[in-house]
Amino acid sequence: MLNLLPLAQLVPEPQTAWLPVVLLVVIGLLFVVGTLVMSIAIGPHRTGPGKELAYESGMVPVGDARQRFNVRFYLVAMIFLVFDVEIVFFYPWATIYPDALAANSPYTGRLLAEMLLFAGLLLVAYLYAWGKGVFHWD
Amino acid sequence: MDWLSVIPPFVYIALVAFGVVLVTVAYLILLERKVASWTQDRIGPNRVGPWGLLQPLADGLKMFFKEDYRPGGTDKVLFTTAPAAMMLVVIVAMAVIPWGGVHRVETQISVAAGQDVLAAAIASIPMNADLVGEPRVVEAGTYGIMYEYAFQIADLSIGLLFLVAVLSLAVYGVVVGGWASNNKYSFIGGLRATAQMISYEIPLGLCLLTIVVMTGTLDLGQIVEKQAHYWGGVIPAWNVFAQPLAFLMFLTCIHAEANRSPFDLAEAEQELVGGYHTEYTSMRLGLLLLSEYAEMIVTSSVCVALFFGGWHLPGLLGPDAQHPAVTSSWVVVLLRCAVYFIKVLVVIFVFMWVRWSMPRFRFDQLMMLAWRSFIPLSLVVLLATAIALYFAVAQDESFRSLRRIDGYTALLLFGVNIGLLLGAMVLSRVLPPPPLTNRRIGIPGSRFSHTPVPAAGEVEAVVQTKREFLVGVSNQL
Repeated sequence: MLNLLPLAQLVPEPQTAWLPVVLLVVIGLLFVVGTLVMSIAIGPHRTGPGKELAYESGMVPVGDARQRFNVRFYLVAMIFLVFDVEIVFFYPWATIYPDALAANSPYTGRLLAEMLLFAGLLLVAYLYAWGKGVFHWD
Repeated sequence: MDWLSVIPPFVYIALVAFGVVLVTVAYLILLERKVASWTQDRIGPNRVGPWGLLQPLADGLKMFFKEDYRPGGTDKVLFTTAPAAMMLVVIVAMAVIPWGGVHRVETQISVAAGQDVLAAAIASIPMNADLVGEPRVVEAGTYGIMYEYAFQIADLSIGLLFLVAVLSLAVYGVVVGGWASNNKYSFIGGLRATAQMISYEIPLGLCLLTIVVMTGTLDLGQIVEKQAHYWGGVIPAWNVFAQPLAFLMFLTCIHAEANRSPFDLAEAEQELVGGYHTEYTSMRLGLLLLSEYAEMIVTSSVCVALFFGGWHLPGLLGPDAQHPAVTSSWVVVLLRCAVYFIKVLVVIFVFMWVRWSMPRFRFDQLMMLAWRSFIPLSLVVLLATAIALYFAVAQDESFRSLRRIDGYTALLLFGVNIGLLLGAMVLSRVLPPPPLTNRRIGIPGSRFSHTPVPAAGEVEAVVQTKREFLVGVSNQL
């Protein structure tokens, strides 16, 4: 279906289009490493028994900090994965849809209906999660 | 001077933009303190230099001279990686901000006889620039050529997607920093920040998509260009007027993404000391704080590009009405950069204004706002935009030819947005409320329960009643 759409002519990007991003990565790395090394070189270094402890408002820490935590955080992570993947599917559709609209393509209605159907399925998943109490916090 | 012309323009733009953003970040911290003092009716920092203008310098030097300290029990590698990663991510995300539209340059090249003119022209233009039109003969052996390049660091056709992908990596800095610190405050702060940032990423992406579905491109420069005209000859065609609800949700989401008040639960100082950066000192802490402000600049720039027309102000349009971003004047390009920057500063001022005016949300309120209202509402806005465009496009000539909406379509989308907002407000009244999460216990004699002041002889009796009540409550619990 897609190749029937009169898409805007795709212009391939030059292979050097990503070089500026590489340049920024290099600049960023230089900046970050530079500041960290400088602060290690300039700052004082003293240590002591109390200083090695984690800060807990003056109390001596009990046990390890990396303990079990509320299972709701796992739930958020899982639901996030579901929804974020759904949104990734929206991106190609959102770039094609205006082109189809502008070209008055006969497939526009179908394109819209497909996405509404997809969003409807998403809604079912959303309502299921709501009913299961995933979005209930206390 | 010959080697200077070999360096492509994006190198200069990258260096200047990086420097400007760093200096701005330093001064944003001063601005934040000035805005705070203005809000709270005090003077604010005014000792270091005139009006405290040297304060950022003093703060930066102080950071360097502090001890770079790592407590025992922390993860050696991850503890340093987290702030470095956070700063790096924000710097890389700067790449696609469309500062100044498209700059067109006319120049002349000399070609030896028998050589391919087109190949010579392509070889002579700088990297990542596009040749425009055919080379034309000026005199024998000399040709005039035109080329243009986008005045931004990297002109990527998937700019918006790149930006979302890179900025969402910032969550690693928070969770890794919180975990590596081996501190309970940091750990809880990191967990909260992670849950918050990933929750608000979904409505953020959907709000971006409402703009993408209007323009059909992920290139931020083109999104700005499509806003660079007027509706009815007067109203600038900025997306904020067509999509006010999407803009408000986007603004809220970037507040939550930047972990700023009223969503600063990750570093709620009354509960968690400093949140995920409790154990950090010196420049490692400095990098975390800097990256927070730099992220504010980047997200505000995206906000300006998507909703406020980027560099667009009257007088800054190029001569070609079809492609108003293209200009051959250096003055216009630099003015556009200045306009863009001022718009970004205005959005950042809103960030600070909100921070010093609004109280912090509770965690359950925060999550409910994202999952119960923003995600369905932004999805509905996206689909309603698509449906409205489907019906409006028939009489919208400028959309069909240039992919930019005209005044009537904008009015329709505005109406759709307002209608959805009203619908959501009505629906939130009609739907059954969520179960109460906080129990309220009325305590006799407290200032909330308005018991009459007892007479002198009855005090004993009131104290007795209170005691019985408290014993009863503690038995219940």
